Amino acid sequence: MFVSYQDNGQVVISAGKLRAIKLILTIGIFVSISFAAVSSRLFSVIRFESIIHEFDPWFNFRATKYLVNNSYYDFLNWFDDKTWYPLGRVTGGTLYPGLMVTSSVIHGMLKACGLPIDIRNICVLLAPAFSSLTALAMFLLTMEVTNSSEAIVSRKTKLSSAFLSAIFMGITPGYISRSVAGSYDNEAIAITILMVTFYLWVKSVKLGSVFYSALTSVFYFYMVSAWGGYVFITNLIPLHVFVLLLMGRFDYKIYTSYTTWYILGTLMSMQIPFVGFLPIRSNDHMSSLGVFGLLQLVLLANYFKYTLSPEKYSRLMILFGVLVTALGVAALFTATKLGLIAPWTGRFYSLWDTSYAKIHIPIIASVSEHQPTPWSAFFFDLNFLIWLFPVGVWFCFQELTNEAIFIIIYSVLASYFAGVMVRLMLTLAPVVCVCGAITVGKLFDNYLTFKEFLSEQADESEKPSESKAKSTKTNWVNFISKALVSVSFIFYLFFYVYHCTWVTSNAYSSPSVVLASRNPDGSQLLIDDYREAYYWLRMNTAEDAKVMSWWDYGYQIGGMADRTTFVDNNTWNNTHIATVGKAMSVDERKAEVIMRRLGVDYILVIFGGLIGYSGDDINKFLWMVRISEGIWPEEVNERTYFTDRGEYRVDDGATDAMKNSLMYKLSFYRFGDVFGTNDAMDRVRNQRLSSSYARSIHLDTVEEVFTSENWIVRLYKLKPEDNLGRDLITVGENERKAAGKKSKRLSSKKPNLDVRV
Amino acid sequence: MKLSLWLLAVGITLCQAFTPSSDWENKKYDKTLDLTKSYVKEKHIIEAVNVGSEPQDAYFFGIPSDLRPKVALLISTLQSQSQPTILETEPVVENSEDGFLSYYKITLPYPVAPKSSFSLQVTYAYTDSLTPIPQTAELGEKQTLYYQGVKTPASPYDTTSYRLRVIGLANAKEVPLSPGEDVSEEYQGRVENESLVYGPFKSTVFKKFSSIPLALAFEKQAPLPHVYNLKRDYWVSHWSDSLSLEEHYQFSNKAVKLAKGFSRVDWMSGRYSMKPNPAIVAIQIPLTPHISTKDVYYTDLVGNVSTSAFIKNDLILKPRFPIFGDWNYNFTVGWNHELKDFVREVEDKHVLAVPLLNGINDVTYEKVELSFLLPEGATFLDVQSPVNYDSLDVAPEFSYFDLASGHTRITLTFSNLVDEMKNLKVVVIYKYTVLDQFKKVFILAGYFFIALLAVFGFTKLDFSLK
Repeated sequence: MFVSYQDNGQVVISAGKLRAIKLILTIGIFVSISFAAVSSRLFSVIRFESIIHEFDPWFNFRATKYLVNNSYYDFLNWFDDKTWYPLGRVTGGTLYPGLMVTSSVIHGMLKACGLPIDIRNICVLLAPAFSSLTALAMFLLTMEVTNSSEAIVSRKTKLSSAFLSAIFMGITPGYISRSVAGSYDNEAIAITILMVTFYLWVKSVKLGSVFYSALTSVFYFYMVSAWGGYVFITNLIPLHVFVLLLMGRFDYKIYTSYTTWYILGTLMSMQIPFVGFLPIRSNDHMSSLGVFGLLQLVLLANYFKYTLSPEKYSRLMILFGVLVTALGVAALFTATKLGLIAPWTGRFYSLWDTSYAKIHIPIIASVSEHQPTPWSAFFFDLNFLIWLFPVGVWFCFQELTNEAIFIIIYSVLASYFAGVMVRLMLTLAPVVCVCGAITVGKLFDNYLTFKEFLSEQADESEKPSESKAKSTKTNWVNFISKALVSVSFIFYLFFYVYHCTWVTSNAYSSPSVVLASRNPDGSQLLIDDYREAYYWLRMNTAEDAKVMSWWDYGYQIGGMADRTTFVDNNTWNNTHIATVGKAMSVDERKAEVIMRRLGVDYILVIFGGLIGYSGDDINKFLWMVRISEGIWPEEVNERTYFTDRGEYRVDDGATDAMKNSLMYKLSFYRFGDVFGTNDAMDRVRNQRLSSSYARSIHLDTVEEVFTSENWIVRLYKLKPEDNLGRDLITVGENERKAAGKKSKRLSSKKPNLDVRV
Repeated sequence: MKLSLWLLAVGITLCQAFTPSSDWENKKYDKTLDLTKSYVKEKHIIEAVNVGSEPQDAYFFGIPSDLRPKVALLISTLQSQSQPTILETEPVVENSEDGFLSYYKITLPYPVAPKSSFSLQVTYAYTDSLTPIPQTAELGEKQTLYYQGVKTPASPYDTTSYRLRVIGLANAKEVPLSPGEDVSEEYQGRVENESLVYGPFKSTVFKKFSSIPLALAFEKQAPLPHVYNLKRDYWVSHWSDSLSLEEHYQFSNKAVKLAKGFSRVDWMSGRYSMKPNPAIVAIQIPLTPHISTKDVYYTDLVGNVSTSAFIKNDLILKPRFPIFGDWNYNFTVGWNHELKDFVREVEDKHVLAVPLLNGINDVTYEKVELSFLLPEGATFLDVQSPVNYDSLDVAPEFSYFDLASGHTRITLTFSNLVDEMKNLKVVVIYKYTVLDQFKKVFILAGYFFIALLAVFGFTKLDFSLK
């Protein structure tokens, strides 16, 4: 039998059996959490197909294919001449290789196990696979944080808190937004590594173990190789140590773990070509170096404390403190002045001043994920956890262990950053899950226990009758209040799951390459214009054809059309982007000069006016204008694209600068013909172009070569120069004049013919 | 065979064109030129009489030498009373540089005595012979195709009675060979029942080797689909009892090119996707009836194409964009069959018979690589093909859970095929016993066991520093 019954009615299970049950339950819960985490990320694969999403993942995918087909050293030395034409890109030295190496290693391992899975499927499913590992790491982190303290969560709820944090993390939309199947981006693996690193760090501070701090630095190295957000770790760990020092918590455990981590981690991170000497030169890394130095001084001071008399010691300390501060600040300033330390980057400034980018670096501000976070996004991405989060932080204050301080610092920093940039919500999500889980765990610890009530109910019969009534009453009140809280929180938990699934399914599962729509009969219709046009480019243009488009589509053209691009989502050269922006913003005559100089063969524009697709180039046009205005303020002026009344118009009332710009003409060329004799209707901007005006939009230097089924992608070819050396625009004008005369002549002759007949 | 080898030897040593002896005379020669498809078919019904002094057992059929590499298929049958018997036909290998004609040697079932006659039908198809003139046209303009051939019998024997019929043309007319020249006055044709007929010429004798060129121009509002390369992979699986087919097409259109860039608005307003026109808007693959076809997928290099449909027994693939002349479109299509519909067990061997092509209608193939992937552990014995293949290649290929020797990939390479050969069957004979089938499971289980053992051993190791 599994259990045995004693004479007094107690049930006895042997310890071994209990352990086995616990193990089975633990594994079962983990399997279910993994299943929930993975399956909620598969909406897009089931609804659409196994496809790489959005923009950056297309580059990562292309780079992974390069790595799989070539050796690792070829990959590091990869000079990509198919992007940034004619400059090219030193791709191997300007990317974080962690993601590509991870998937190629997985690919190789599976192949060795007799599973030659296509690299595309590995890339598509990498993020969901890592999300289940993230849940595991969250479990360990929460365990570690709550382990040494009874005040934060009691011993028996520790495990349930940890499990709750794992499932919260597994399905929180704040994390899913960056890790659905197909979203093959650095963040897909970086969040997992981030959590593992933090877990190992907390553990190594607790144990003072070289082994764990060395492991921390190994994972830190992995993080550096995978995502630019590693700077978050580089600053959070020193800050943690610094705060501990300020609190007078210095001990050899902290010293051992920090120095081990810093030295190993820095040396290893410098092995990544893209990072190189940044860890000792960039200002972003100075805090970790500073704390490293400070720790040595504190160690020295600690030594003096025990050898010197208290007066001498305090005098020495004051002198020492002043000297060190002065020297440190002076060294920092001189090093920056001499250029030994790299200046602060624009992205860094925009972290502190949200309007900085808008004024100084339009290219950073033009990315939607760099915008400040709206309030609703917090609820949208984190649901009820966002109001449990402060409670959890408050619980951490109950007993300020080293781990609790780490969580507090992490919450403060991540909350700030999440408020500055939408995409940094990703770093906030884990700590919110930890704090939320602590809160819910604590709540359930107090409210979901009915043991007392039940045992009192059982004891009731034995009690005398007068005290019976009273105790029963308080008992029931107690029970109802407990039940009320429990039921409401169970409802919130259900609601959380419902909300997460809803958000994932509706907001984060569109590949954005394929758009879903509905037929009149309700069946699904896929709008596949992007791939239609990219595939046309791939099949029907010369292999070395160069395609000019706005930088958003660079990676997709490289990945799907396999053609050379001028600018792409790796926005390393602002001037080059501004050049393309200028070619789009100025009139045809000037644009032709720029395009001939660049060596353009084809031009790709996105136009949503026919079906009402709002993410098109005319809506992005102002960024092109702004970015090129930043370089050529005397040639391009944003104001001239707005009407006198400040309206952004594309119809008959548009400004001349707008009407003459190449982008406008490429978008609306022959658009009027679709509507026959009616007025052409731009369905995105809800503006009406009069029929005669829409028909008068003409192009002389370029020729339409392809337009996709719903007109989303329009491709043009730059005409070859005239054989007779004439100006193409003049030729076009003459032709139009001649055609006009001809039609006039015909119409005037017509009555004569009629009379004759 | 011996004769042709001997001829080859003669050909090489003398470096001279082979000329058959003129022992035959074509008493009646009926030639039909069929231009309805995207390639050209010819049907020759010949009644020949032995004018030599000795019995003859071989008739040499001539075709213009420039056609020789374009011939996809040539079949000759004996026109007997009851049913036609296929005759052994083989090309004569010779130094064809200076010869106007190339020959196929048709071996007769019996020697034909002097003065007696027999009747023969030769059918052949050749590709790459229809070209649009002019090569470019505006969207919606009519397409005119140009064909150049031979008006006369083109036989190594004298012909006494001759007729040529050209079928499948709307309004064909003879055009000059090169601009400026006149159309030759000799042997004028006339339109009769929607076909162009020359002759019959009963009184004139067409001397052997006589050749009058024929140039035709005709309107045809249809594409000329062409496949540069087709890879057909048949995966045999006994465990799942399925035969999966995956086809990779490099598809193109040889019809008239667009004079200007493709204009979507003209395409939409002209409703060309509904009208017959030289662009390919849909690829139609007829599926074999009564054979289950499941799990059809249609993808290309950038992912799934959502526009495919079944209409009756046809699979209709709509390409991402209409394929105009000289445009390319690579795609992959695949599905599963039930294995029992294709494999028979004969004693301890398996005989797999699959069609050479799965037929897109009216298409020409430049190169076809037909592969069979036999399950791991199977022994390949033999392959038989009704059409001559260029090469046969057997190599291992490692697929899922192939931990031993891998699948066996047998690749046959064919060149220059046409859609009409889709009913021909290629047969593969292999050996695959139940033991072989289970061997794989045991190997797999063994590896799992080793892996679990390794994990167990690893947990027992102690790495701690003490």
